[in-house]
Amino acid sequence: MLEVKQVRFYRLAKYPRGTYREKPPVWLAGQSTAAVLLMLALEGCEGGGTTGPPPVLPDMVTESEARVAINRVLQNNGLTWQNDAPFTLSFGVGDTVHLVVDSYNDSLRVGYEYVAWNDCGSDYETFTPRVTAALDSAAKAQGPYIEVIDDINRRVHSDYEQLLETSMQQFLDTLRAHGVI
Amino acid sequence: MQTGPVKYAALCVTHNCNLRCRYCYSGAKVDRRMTPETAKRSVDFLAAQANEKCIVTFFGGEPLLEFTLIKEVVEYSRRKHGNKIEFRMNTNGTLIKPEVLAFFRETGIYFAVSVDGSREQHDTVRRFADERGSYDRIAAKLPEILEFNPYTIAVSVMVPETVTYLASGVQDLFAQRFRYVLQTLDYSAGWTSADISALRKQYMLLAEYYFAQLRAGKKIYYSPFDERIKTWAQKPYGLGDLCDLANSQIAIAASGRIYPCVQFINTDDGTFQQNAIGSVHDGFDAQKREYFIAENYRDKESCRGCPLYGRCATYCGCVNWRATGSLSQVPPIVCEHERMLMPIVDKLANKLWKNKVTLFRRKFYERTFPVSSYIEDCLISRRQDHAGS
Repeated sequence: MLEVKQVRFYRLAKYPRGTYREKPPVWLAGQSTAAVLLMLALEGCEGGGTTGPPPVLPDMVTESEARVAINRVLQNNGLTWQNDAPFTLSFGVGDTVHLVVDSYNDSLRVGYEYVAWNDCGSDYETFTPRVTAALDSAAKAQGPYIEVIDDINRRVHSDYEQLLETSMQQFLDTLRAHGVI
Repeated sequence: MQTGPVKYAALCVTHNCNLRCRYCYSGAKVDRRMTPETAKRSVDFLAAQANEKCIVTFFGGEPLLEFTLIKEVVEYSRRKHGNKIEFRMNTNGTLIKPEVLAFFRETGIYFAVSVDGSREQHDTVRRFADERGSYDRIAAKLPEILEFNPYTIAVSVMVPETVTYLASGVQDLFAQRFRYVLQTLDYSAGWTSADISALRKQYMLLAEYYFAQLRAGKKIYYSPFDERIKTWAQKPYGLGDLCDLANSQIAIAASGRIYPCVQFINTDDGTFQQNAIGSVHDGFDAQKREYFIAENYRDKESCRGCPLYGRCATYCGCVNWRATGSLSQVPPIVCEHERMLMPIVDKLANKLWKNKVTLFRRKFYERTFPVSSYIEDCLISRRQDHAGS
């Protein structure tokens, strides 16, 4: 006969209760772009945190969707850049990184890269914190001026086109103010 | 009683189904379907009742019998409400076709599929109207379903007759490459003490399997274990965590009547209508809605002072109602099951902790695990693709 019956004494669980925290893996913690991605993706993950089913994958804006919005801004500003342009970043003698940026104008030395999630992380492997920091430093100095855009979760920003267009226009305005274009 | 925004809703698009599963709580299978007008009105109603987002699950009967309606309502919702309404589906999977998957891929809709375990286990209860078992049909579709979304959840239900297949059935699901198995008992079935003993043996076998899998770095989710470990390693259930019927979770019948949960709809006629808490056409019946919420939140006298309080699943008012007719009265089978299962789960977790199993620590104690794990999966899959090409 089954019954509802209280347990009188129960102290079987010996594993940590609610206080122990495991650190994220080093490869993740070390990536600033991944931190942004993480924040976005967490908003897209449903189902109860760490152990609950997270089958709803983050709905990231794809590279081709981003290009449409960004290229529209370039077009409106009368600019023509080469798509998928090879680019070499030098950190010193014998220390170079070969990249392919989404769009680049060799004579103006300006371009952009949308770091896409959808290709399963290949952009994240290429555009490492070291590379993005170097590009950032170069843009603050004498160029080249490459805008690196972290990818966008559509669930968080349903107006992603507007977001990309504004961001790109601001980049172009800055370049114009500095006489680069 | 303060009511909150609606966060989750089940949309029962049809009362019909091509299967006749023995444990189904959706009532008689009749050809009564939701009209496009009611479906659109439901979506408008939910968009108005939600804060930022409402997750709407297509439900039935078998929702894919109304695939044309599903397409129409998704397109309407996207056009009118953007991404405020996010769609999902619970399906028996037998009607999955390439064009269905193509639509879901295009619209980003994920679904859970009902598959109980091995053929013997599944075919004992999940049969077509002509009594044929449905396992072969669903098994043939699993590769394309899991290719569509490798994180698809297998929903499995146990009845007393299938207990002896439990361990082999669950291992079968993971062998089919499911990573998530959500399993529950049919609490309204006639469980006996002998069934509970048989269940204990099966869970113990599964605990050994789970330990070996996690130690080998295999990412599996098995709800009877994972959810109970979580209530210790992370936080115990609070009011509304496990079940928030009539409040943040509601169900809408094909007629447009609103119910506290899908388990209350049944055939949506006669006495069942007494449980309706409004309709999408006229809005909520505030008094009835508040009654259900208050009853669900009501302190369960039988559990007061029990050391397992906050860890076991006695907080689901829908289960209580189905088994006892009262939202706050705990069914004996729930209590027996929890008292039997919790020690098995805690011993398993103790062993995983003591043996420093990395995946266990990450899974239950690393906040970023769902995302870091997903990125890892992507990178591994990409490397495998490269190696294969």
